[in-house]
This record gives sequence, C-alpha cells and structure tokens, in this order.
Amino acid sequence: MTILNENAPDAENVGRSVWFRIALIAVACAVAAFIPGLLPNLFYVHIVNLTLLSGIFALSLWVIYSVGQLSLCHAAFAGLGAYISAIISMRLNIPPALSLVLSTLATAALAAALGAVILRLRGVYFVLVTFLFGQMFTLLALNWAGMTNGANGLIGIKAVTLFGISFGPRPMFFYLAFAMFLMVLVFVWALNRSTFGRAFNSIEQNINLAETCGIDTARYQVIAFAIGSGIAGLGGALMAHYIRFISPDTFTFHNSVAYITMLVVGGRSLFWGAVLGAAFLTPLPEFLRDFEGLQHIIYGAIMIVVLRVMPGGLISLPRTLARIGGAK
Amino acid sequence: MSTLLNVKNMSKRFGGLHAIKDMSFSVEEGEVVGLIGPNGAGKTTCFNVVSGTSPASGGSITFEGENLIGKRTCDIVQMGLARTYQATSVFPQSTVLENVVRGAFVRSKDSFLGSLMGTAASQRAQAETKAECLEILKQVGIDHVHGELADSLPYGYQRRLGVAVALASKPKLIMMDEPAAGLNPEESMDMGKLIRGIHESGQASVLIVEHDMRLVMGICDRIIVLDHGELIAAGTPEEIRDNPKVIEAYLGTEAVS
Repeated sequence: MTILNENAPDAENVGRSVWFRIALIAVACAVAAFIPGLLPNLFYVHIVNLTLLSGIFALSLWVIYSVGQLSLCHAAFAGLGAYISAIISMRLNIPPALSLVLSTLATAALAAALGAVILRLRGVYFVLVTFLFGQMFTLLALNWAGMTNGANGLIGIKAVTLFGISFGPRPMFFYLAFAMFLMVLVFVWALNRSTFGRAFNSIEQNINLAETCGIDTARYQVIAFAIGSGIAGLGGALMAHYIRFISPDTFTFHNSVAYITMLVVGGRSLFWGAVLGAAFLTPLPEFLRDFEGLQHIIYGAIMIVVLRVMPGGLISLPRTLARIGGAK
Repeated sequence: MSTLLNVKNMSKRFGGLHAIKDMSFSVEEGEVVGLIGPNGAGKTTCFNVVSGTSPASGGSITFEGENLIGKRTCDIVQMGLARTYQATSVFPQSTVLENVVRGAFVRSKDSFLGSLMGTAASQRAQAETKAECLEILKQVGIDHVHGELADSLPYGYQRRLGVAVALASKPKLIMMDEPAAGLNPEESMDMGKLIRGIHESGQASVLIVEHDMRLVMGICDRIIVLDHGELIAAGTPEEIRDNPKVIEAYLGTEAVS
C-alpha cells in the first residue's frame, strides 16, 4: 500500500492513469453485464452474488486491519446493518434503497461510539473484546424478541427496488451487488492512497512513531473502525434484502472468522488480497460438495497448503512462482 | 532569547518508585542542551513525560508559555516539540522518502477529500511535501537512498532517518534520545556535526540525552545532570566536567577529554 503513495507522477502520467483506471472499470462493467446470462443456472448466479457480498465484507475488514487491528465482531456489524435495514424498511415502510444508506450510516455511528472506547486496546486484548461484542450482538438478536423476532428471525424482508426495477431476482441482484462491490472497491482503493490511508498505514507500522509524527492515532483508529464496520453494515443490509430472511444465525462468530480467513488466505498486505480471498474461499465449499463427508477435510487441507506455500497469501502468487522458477 | 521549554518541579512516580523528583530546567531558543546521567537516572522517563507519552505525577511543563501537562503526544508535536527514540524507530515497510513525508504529515497542505479524489491540488501539495522532504534527507546525508525501504537501511542510516522524520515536522525544539547509541566513533562524530548543523542553521533548538561524552561535551551549550531522578548539576560543559558531585555520581574518577 505504501507503493501507491510513492512517486508523485507528472501531470501527463496522472491524466493517462486516470483514463486507464476508468477504462478498466468500464471493461469490468461490460464483462459483468453478461455474467448472469452466461452462467449455466441460478445456483451459480447465487454463488457469484454471495462471493460479491463476501468481497464487501473482506474489504471492509481490511480497512480495519489497515490500522493494525483485528476485529472479531465484524459479522456482528454486518448483522447490525442487516437488522437495522430490515426493521426500518418493514416497520417504518422506508424503501429498502434508502434503508440501505441509513443502516450503513447507523452502523458506522455505532461502531465509532464503540471504537472510541475499545480502540485504546491493541493486539490480543482488542481481539478478545471484539469477540465479546460479537457474542453480545448474537444474544441481543436472540433475546430482544419484540424487535428482532428472536430465534425465528425476520421473514418477508422486502427486495431493493430502484426506479421501479426490482433487484429481488438473483440475476437482477447480481447487478446491484456488483455495483456495490465496485463502489466499495474503488472507495477502499481511493481511501488507501488518501491522507487517511497514509495515517492508517503509519499506525499499523509503528504506532508510537505515528503519534510523534503528530498523527492523532486514537482518532484515525476510530475512523478506520467506523468506515470498515459501516461498509460491513452495508454488506449485511444487502444480504438481508437479498436472502429476505435474517436470524441471529445469519451473522455469527463463525462468519467473523471466515472473513479473517479470507484476509489471511488472500493476503493482508494489500486490499486486493481481501478480494482474492473472498473470490477463492466463498465458492470453494460449494465445489467440494461432491466429496460428501470429506469436504471439510479437503477445505482445511487446501487452506493449509495455500498458507504453507504462500505465507503472504494468494496475492503473493506471482512472486512465489517467480521464486520457484529460480528468480531471486 | 526566549524560553522554549520550561519544566518546573516535575515529578514522576511509578507506584512507590520515584523516577523523577522535583526536576526543574529550561531550554532557551537557539540552545543545545545535554541531559546526562548514569543508567536508570530517569533521562528517558523525563523525555516521555515532556513529550506526553506518559503523564506527569506533579509539577508544570510549559512550551512557549503554553501548558503541556495533559496534552497528547500528537498535539505536542503540532506545537513544535518533536522527539526521536532511543532505539531506531522508523516505518520499516515504507521507503525512506515516505518515512519523512509521514513526519511532515501535519504540515502537509494535502486535504483528505483532495487526496481521495486525486485532484491536481492534492498532487501539487504532495509533490511540494516530497521536495521539502528530499531537502531534509540531503541535510542528514541519506538522500541517495530515498527510494529504499527503511527496513533495508544500515543501522547508522536508520538513526539518521529517525532524525529526518523528527525534523520533517519543522519543530522549534527537538528532543533526541541517545542519537549516537550503537554508532561507531566516526558515525558518532557525523551525528554530532548533524546536530550542530541543525542548531547553527537556526532550524531548531536541541535537547539531547547521550552517553557519548565526547559528543555531549563537544556540541552542548549547557548540560544538566540527572541522578536517581534528581537534578544534581547544571552548567557549561567545563563546569560539569569539574563538578565533584557529577564526577562522583557519574563520571567516576577518570577525567574526560
């Protein structure tokens, strides 16, 4: 991520690289337009949709990781966004397109309030406290039955409708999920090269020195936590309006661990790693379904092999191949 | 000459341990002041309290007349009081230039939104900061390795980089915690020249903790001596060298050239 901050390019190069990036996004959109039509059946579309949502979760977790903190309550914030969006759209009759935005902001605000207290901790202490908050969220969702309908969950959540188009059907939701994923990806990329990104990375590398550079480390950690958790809330809300059913089981501790796994397997050094990890690990269990009874063992074995060969994650694949090929 | 740093009756307790007792001293504008004392005398603790890393237990600290007690390190740096660390402290995974740019973080004209959108104004501000930072690297003599990762630098260069990062915030006073620790005599002399240069060019005043007596005696206008958390002497290098209390506490019986 530091590489992106280097070498202020001259004006001509800047112009060219901006157009190059816009072209890249345009190509991605053009390809994406055909994806639902090209997939053999709706099941595959569903897997792609889930992968895009996982991508959003992993990217948002990376934002928090970029200040050197590991959150074990990421799924709780996703669940918070999901419940807020579902409840306000059902009870207050707010259109889901608007409730997505509101729940994202509400989740970010709650994360900022929580973060201001718990981000004084670092390392394992922070991890443990976030674990407890994740558990608290699950208990709250289970026991506040008047609001969350307890263990039965909320059913009949409305699909997102924009300009009269319903994004309920799987192929249609794909376009919404893709647009949101792309938006998050571009935002995280831009954030990373902004002054905030520089502050975040300074904190990750050497928090004491960052503080002596005049960087308000407490404030920037809260900002990173709020942005990351807010985006997770957006992903959770999208999920709620897609599956149209949520329960305390939808977002548990296991999901938090899954997002961390995506980050580790994909590679933590760059945000691309989060994307790669989500793209690799989300569909993997589905393709292992044929090996009934063995699928969890194979899943585990694949992860061990990946981490053994590439400790830097999938993102270090080119470098690993070069090393195997004999390059120094 | 006006007083930059004014410390009055500062004390610091860790439980029952009185690490600093009633310490008073000041640093004037344009001075190089040495803070010496045997190991465990409380020199680094003194730095930590003044720079806001750990809270004072009593007394008052002002910088240009403004109170520092209760302020956080990042705010104190913005007031113009920077510090370096005893061990090397750099951003290891970033380039040398990027390290210094981070030191200039609070001064940069770059805005969050501008840098998020990658506007021309933001690009200009970044280029400006980089040019300034290259000048600082030139001053500490490591501009030729500006593109290398800080991690890969030899130890002596990392120490200089630490000074460059502190200088980048354009401090009025820079506190250096053993800048020559672990350096060989030649590197140590270069470090002395560098500190003298910072002083002579009028960039900043310096408060320095150092064990290398040759260095301290050579560059300091004034020296204060700390032993067991108490200030036992203050004066010019010559006065300190001849002070029996100092000799007893710290220098032993051997005279220092």
